[in-house]
Amino acid sequence: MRRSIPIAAFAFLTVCGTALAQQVDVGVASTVVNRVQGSVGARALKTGDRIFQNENIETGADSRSQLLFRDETVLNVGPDSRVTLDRFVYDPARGGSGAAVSVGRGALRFISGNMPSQSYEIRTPAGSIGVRGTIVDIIVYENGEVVLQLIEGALTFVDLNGRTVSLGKPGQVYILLPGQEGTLGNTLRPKDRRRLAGLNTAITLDELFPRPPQLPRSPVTNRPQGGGTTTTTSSDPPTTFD
Amino acid sequence: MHRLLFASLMTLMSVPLPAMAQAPASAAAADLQSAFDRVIANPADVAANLRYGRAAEAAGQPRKALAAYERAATHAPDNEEAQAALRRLKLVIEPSTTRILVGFGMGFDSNAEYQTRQLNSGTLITERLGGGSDVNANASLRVIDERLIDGRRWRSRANIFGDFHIRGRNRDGHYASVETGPMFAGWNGVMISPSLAAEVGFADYKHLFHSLGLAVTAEFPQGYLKRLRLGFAGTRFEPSLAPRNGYSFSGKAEFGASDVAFRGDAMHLTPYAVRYQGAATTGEETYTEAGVRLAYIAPLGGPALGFSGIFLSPEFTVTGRWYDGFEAASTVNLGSRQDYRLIPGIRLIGSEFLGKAVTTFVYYEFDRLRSNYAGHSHNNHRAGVHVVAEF
Repeated sequence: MRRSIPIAAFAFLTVCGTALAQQVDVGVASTVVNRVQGSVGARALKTGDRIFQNENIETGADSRSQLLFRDETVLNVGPDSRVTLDRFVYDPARGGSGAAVSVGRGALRFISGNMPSQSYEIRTPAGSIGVRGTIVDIIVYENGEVVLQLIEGALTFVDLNGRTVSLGKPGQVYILLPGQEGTLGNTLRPKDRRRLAGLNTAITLDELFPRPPQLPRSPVTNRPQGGGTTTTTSSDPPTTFD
Repeated sequence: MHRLLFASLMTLMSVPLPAMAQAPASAAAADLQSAFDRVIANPADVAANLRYGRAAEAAGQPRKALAAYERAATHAPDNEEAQAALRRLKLVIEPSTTRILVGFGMGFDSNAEYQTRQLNSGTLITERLGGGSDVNANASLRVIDERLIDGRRWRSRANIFGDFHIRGRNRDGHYASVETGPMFAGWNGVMISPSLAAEVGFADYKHLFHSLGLAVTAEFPQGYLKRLRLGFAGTRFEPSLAPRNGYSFSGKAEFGASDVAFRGDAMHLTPYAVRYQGAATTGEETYTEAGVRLAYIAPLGGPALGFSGIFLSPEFTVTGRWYDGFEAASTVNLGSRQDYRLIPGIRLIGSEFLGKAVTTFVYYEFDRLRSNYAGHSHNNHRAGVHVVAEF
């Protein structure tokens, strides 16, 4: 029995090692904050771990990760998110490079790398995104709602019905609700801002809950009232500016 | 011969020129690739990320630099270069945002005018620390906008609010302010924002005051100090209150910390000081005020009652105001006037009602002011509900 335990452990490590070795290494988990899970070898990712083609990456609550690919593409994956690294071929010498990433849920920022612009495809449950020298923020909600915000460059979104929408102005937002036509706008909704806030920095509770305003008081003085002398002390300064 | 020599010289000079022009570009690309190779081999190497970030900026690829500085800042939160570069790039790259917050509320004041009722009995003055109560409805609109103008990020804010009293229309107040200024990335990621501000206040539907001011705000990305603000403002009151015209210097700091006692909570400490210099040489127009507000926000749970989260926030504010040359004819006054104010309070906060960006506050606070001058102390119980929706 005692002898079988090291043998089983050795066999397990060998199988895992072989499985990792057979995978196509596409980049690295360049930052890992809290709980981030990789599907290859069912491992908890650490900073510096290799990531592989066809691997699912899942982040937990209050967790995030940055994935850095061999062509300098970057994926910032926010809390409670799931992405699949469907395909990644980078061979600048021979050409034929291409990358495809699927976003199952959550929030992420995609920063394109060195491949030709038509080489990238970001798949969402509502359609796919093609990019041109781009930074784009993407949110996929649990109900299938998809939100895109163009930060830099340009992108084209093709929905499941084949309709195409192009975003070319930084700041443009495209929101697609399940079963509806998408809407193009210039600002994120509050819930989108909150979802994206977890990508890079934690938002403070005070920012989420602004205090009700304090009104200036009228400096009324010496108003007589019922049997005695009444005096007000209100003389709040008009120096708020805040 | 001379012609041949000249032609040869020109040929020799002209050949290297395109190569020389391409050299910096190819050198920058090579440097970028070399830096990237080091980063992908060890992404936690802060120096490698900084080098890669610098190389990407030099190569005109700020989006790669942004990601590199984010990595460096994550692995070394105190790294000054990473924080400064991150702030600088974000100011240029991040898109415009406009937040619109609309608020409505109802409030109750047990002593709506902060009155002290004095009962004269010979030379003895007995004070009751309260006047009449009132109920008010209030509304507010806040707009916070950030956008790039001519390559420079610019922040503007506007506030409008007012309240409407059931018992005393003369207590109704209205207020509006605007503030705008550019944003600069400073040392160690500190964001500096000088701004120009103006405000106007009305009481009883008549003009009460207006102010024009300058402020400088510094926002800190790391550490407990989140924000520091210094301001100067000149104020004019309506003609009957002309002795109160003057100017003020103010300073305010905001400290914050998360996960203080347990996960998800937050603590905020806000000290401030104001020096108001009135035009009159005597009276209550010139004073120095200082105080601090301490607020703790704890998550109670949720989702519940339609809210995604419920929070409890006990607060405590203490302030002091010291007047210059205050004069009031009364036998019980004790030297220069000094007022001290304590305001303990509590807020129950519900966030994201029915999945919308609607926050509800239910609050109570006890405003207790004590003055060494007769007729200037008060007690006021304040309670209410306030709903803020963000668009």
